[in-house]
Amino acid sequence: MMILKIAWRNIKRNKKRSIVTVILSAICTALLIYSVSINDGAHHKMIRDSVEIYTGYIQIVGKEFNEYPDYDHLIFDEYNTIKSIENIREIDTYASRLETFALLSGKDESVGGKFVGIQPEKEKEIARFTKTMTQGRYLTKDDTSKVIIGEELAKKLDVKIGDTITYLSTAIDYSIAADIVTVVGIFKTNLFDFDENMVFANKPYVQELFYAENVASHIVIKPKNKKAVTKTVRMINKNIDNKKYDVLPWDETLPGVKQAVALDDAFSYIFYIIIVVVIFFVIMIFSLLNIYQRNKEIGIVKSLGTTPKQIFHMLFAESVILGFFSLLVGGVLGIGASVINMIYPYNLEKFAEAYSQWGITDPTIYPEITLKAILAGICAVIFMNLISILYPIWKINKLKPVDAIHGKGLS
Amino acid sequence: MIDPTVIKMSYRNLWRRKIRTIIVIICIAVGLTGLIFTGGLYDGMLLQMKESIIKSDIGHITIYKKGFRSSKKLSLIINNPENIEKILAENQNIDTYFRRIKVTGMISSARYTQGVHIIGIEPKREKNASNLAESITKGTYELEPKKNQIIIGAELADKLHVRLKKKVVIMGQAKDKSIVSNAMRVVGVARANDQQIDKYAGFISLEKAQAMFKVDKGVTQISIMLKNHEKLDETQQFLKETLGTEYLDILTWKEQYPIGEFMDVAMQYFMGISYVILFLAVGIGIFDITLISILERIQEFGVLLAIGTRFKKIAQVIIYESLMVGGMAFIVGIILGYSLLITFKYVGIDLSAFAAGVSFFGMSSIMYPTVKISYFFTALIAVSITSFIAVLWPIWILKKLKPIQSISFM
Repeated sequence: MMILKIAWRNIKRNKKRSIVTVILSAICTALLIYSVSINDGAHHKMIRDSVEIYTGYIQIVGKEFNEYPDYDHLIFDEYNTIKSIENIREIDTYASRLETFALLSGKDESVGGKFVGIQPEKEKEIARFTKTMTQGRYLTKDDTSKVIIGEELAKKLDVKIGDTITYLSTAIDYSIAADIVTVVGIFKTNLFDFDENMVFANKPYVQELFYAENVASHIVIKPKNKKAVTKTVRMINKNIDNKKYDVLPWDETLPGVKQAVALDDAFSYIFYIIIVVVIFFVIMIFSLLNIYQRNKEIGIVKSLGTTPKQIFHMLFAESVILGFFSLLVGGVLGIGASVINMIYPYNLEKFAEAYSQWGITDPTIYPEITLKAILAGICAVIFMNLISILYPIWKINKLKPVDAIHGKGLS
Repeated sequence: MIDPTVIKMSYRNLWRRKIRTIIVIICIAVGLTGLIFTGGLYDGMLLQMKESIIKSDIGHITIYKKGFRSSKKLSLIINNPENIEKILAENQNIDTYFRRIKVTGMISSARYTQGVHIIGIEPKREKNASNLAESITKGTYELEPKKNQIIIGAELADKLHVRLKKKVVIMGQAKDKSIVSNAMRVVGVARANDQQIDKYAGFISLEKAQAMFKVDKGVTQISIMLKNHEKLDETQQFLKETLGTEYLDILTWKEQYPIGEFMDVAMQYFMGISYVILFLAVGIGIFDITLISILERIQEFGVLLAIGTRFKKIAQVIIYESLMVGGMAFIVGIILGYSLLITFKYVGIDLSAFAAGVSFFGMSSIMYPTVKISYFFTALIAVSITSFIAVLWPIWILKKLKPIQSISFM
């Protein structure tokens, strides 16, 4: 207790230096917390946007469907599969899809695209593309030969609302499936590939035309807690036949997104490390100077019989107190800046095209204060404030009291 | 003028406080090394991304028939590329050019069907221009003009579950609106770390594509590679004037991929902010260390003044001390930073652990940093300004303290 008191007095005695030390490491801490928050915010947004636009957090597919996405690897008893997962508590909602490829023809033009049967009502709760209708309307559960298509595809086929499209594809029994459908809606997600390729129709209609009663290619699941994907996957795995189905979390269906985040993080860490190391040295200079100035004082204390251990404790306590203040100020600044930024987020409208390439559909970036951000701040403070004094302390403990009193022995 | 005695004094003063001096040098040097290295890393990454965009398809400048780029209709095809080629051949700024036909269609194997960009290429001609030849991971790059041969993207090959020598069927719409299809044998697999190629591309010979899609001698694009990138705007202007823009779209790669420019600007801001933050911290460090060392020596300065040294000289000693520390740190930082960059420029940084993420950003799986002379000057300016400005205040404080009077307290 006395050591703390002495440490506190020492800090007060040297107000200017203490304040500069606190400011320096507080700014560094704030910067770390803020930039980790921004990074996390942007990354989580990237993940959310990529996952929620269509893919979904969890998919149930036929065994090995991801490796062999063909008609032999579909889910052939959709209704029973759904029944077996219906009562899992972790699941918020689910929707089944039937994805096929088709050659689509508009007025003159023909292109290939994905022709997908969806359950309009359920899909609305899972996939965000359903909310990006720019023209016409979304599908209803009673629609038959009606489709919604992406804006780029509409341009390519040169069709508008009310126009018809002919599609040609293969039914599940490998016979030819073809029909004329009416475009009732056009959507625009800003993801070029998606807007260029996708056609959605009501699943019962697709099932009928493709002889696919009780068949689905995907059952997409939205967990109640988006952070508990792994647990939900485990629960689903317990309830379904693992020999017939694969349960895939988003990081397996979209490995690129996960690794892109990791890569971007790795780059940011290099930068953080440089900043923290430089500030580490600056603070080390501070504590060295501090000790030089107190050379005499420490010599006297030593010759009075204070042990090196006690001196260590005293100096360490000073650091801890300064570190505590740095963390407090830095934390308030960093979190404050993030919170302000959450209320007034960055809008990178100008660069929308650039961001859409990375799967970010609406270029408003909100920081997110995560545990990681706060931990980064704490680690930085510990490193900067506590580790940086070890060398100066070691130095001072080597001093001979007599030399120290006479101001010798340190340079 | 610079007085040699002053310099000598400053230098000796520095080594009277060895540890402090060394720590300041380490601090600045580490900062500089880090900044130079990350700068080179980011520049290298951006350069590779841009190069891959340019080399994989569009060249520095691309010529399309007006409206083709947005509609992708085969009716908007360049029918007589020879006329344009004559002009291209005469231009001094143009290194080479290559012609392509791009049609969106479908590709199917026994296993799977999906959308594909069918791209007609002239392998011999674009060998030195595009990066396709070096992206081939299996099989060959040479497509025989008359044969039904195809090179497909690596991820596409995985999806289709085809290997070399297996057959795939491509289907698309010809210029006369009829649907045409053709069975092709896979002779090559390409991985360019570009999703458009790896996932969605099938390359066939230009002659084959022209015959299949019934476009006669037409091509959908001519991609031009320049000798010197500086001449980009000039060449574009020249082409616009000579070829006319009534029927043609003549676009630079920058106009087609604004993301490159965005990344450049973002990176410049990022590096600028990093420099300011780091050197602010370094400046505070130098300031404090100078202040303390001045206060410690106040009597010494008093004596100097008393024997007739002018204050200006003393200020010079202090400034030189700081500049010398800065200079030494600069040399260490520059040597470390540049040797890191040069080492990795030859060795490369292997990012294949992040393969999927790398191709997500359109980066290459092995990254090579860029080494620019400008890092040297940026670092030099930052160090000299910081080490100069950081000591001004301490000198002013010294002046106010009236060192001469301090002698009497000895």
